[in-house]
Amino acid sequence: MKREEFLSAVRTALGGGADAPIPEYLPMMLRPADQRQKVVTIEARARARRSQLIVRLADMAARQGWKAYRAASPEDGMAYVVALAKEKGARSAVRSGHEVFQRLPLDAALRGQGVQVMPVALGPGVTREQLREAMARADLGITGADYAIAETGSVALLPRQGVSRLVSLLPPVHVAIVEAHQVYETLDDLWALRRMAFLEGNGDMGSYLSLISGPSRTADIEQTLVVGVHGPLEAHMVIMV
Amino acid sequence: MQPRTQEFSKLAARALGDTQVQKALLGLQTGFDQARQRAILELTPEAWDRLRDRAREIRRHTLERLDYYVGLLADNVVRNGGAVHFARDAHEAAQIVLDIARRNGVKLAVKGKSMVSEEMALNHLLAANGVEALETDLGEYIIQLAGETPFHIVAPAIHKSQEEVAELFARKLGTPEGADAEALTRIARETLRQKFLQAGMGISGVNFAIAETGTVCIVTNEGNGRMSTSLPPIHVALMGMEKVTPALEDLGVFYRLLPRAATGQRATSYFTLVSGPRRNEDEDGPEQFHLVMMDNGRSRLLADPELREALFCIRCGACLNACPVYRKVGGHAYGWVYPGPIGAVVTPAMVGLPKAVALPFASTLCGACREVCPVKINIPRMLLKLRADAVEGAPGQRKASWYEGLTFRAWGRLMRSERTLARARGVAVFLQRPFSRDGWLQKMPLPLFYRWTRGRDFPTLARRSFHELWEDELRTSSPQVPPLR
Repeated sequence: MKREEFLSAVRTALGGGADAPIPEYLPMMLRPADQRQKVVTIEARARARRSQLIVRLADMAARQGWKAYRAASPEDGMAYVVALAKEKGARSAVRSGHEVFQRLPLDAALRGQGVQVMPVALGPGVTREQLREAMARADLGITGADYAIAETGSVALLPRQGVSRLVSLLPPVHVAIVEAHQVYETLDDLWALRRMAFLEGNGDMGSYLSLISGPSRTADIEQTLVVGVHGPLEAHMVIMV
Repeated sequence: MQPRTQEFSKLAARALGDTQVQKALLGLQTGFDQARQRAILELTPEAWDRLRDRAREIRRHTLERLDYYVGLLADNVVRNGGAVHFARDAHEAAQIVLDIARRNGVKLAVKGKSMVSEEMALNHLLAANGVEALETDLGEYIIQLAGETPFHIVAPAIHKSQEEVAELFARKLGTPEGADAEALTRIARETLRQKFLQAGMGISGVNFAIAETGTVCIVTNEGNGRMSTSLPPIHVALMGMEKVTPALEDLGVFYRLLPRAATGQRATSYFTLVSGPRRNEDEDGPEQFHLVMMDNGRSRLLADPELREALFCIRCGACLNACPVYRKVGGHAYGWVYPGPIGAVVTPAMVGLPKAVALPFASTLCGACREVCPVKINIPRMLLKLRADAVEGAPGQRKASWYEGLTFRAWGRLMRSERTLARARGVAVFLQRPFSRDGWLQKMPLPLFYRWTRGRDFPTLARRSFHELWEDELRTSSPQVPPLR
């Protein structure tokens, strides 16, 4: 069916003509400058409440089924991940290319424990298929975060260079490293921030956003909760205070 | 899916006699419904109510200009590099998906949960044309293996016991018998993991679609939705056209309502926003993104000011869990894709009222559905309207039989005169004698009466009426008692 035919059937159902004015809808009418103002307010609020938000994030994350850990220092955070790898008997890990790993020498720490670490990066000798293979086989998937939301204990991930959506999906254990400046209060904050990105990106806010609020789960058989279905069986959130 | 809506009574009777189904239905009350109530308490009932009102406003506004927002969504999906397809009905929509599969030589498609695909009977069409379509939501996977249809919008296989699922898996997949829910889930994980990696196409439903940004949003817990939209080279998203919402920030309302109303969660494990295919600089993701927008009777609901509200629905299933009829007869009795109170409203628009006439009558009009609805849809009012259409509607849609009309005319005359009523009562007391036993009528004659006693006993008419007893009382008791007339 043609688009015009389809839309005209909808118009007929509504009893209106094609010349009806564009409807006014407030959230869509905010111009970039207004949206910017909104975002500035959100950022300021998040900064002012950061320490409470981190406590709340850890609390809500735990309630959502994450193993949440507040790391006192970068070393403490790395030690947590290394201990986890050891506990799981992990032999291989895939790691996304989030900025935090430029500051955190986690690869070296893991390799020191005999864990093979593969960063998500295409390059000479590394094809897309090989990467996918590695992600499907890995014992650990380690990512950073783009945002963390205290309200729901969530981590949001966006497409970036060196970031694959499969790192947080295919391995049985997902570890998300959250930095303090990434923590926001509510889901509303997240949508406002993303709309800003949409306006600034000339109408492109990236191909996807994954909001992750715990390990995969189901209750499809007799309403019995089972954690670990197609996604990770375990999800760890390490918050760098 | 072939409607079996005309068999409501038969299918309901079957469910009532099935002890496993009855047990599962009881579990829905203690499970989903109580979880929903706890989630609302955590948020505070006041905040919950404000969200519901706001959701109504957004839905009303969107539907008033659905043509504009559907057009805007389509424009922006295309701008993001996706393709948009429009389908008048379910058949056309299924054909579109098949064409995409054929053009790309797809042999295996993995599917996330989609009620719209049930409307389309998509799996059958694809299978008949050499494309295997595999359900990957655990509940849907179980249903597909069993060759059944979903029992519940949110939990499709909730009517099956763990033992039944274990037996099914053993038979179909050769896995060990007696597995528990956790073991069964792991089996599904292992079995489907390979399929995700091999599939040439991923098919998903759409919970919300953002017009302004050209984004489809998918709410899942198991991760199969993310798998289906990340791994295969083609992603096809299926949506009923009413799922569009204007702005990204509307999610602040809808993504707070849906998980709580559906399963009592404050957030699902995953909420995935997809805005087109992967960009050149992305490390992975599908190369093609297709959005199929389907009407299939929705414009009929849109055109009727009294039924338009049915399109406010966000498919949470809360009205099913709360409905005293659904709680007894379950999802299969309704005979089509959408069961329960909301199903009784939307199904007639999709399969035709004459075929689905039993559904609006399968309700006590108690109002529980409206009370739990996250969008406050006035379902009872619409059920009454459909009943009126069914009884007094166009010729050929007439539901009431001649004797029902006759009976109610006689009843009306009887009730208007006390003397006639008293006389009729006397006759009835006499006539009931051969059928009464210990003060109860267990079996009455004539088609008009026997249904009353098919499933329950009816108390016999008292030998003396209340009026007669009251007259006696007045004669014998103290004069302070006010006279009846």
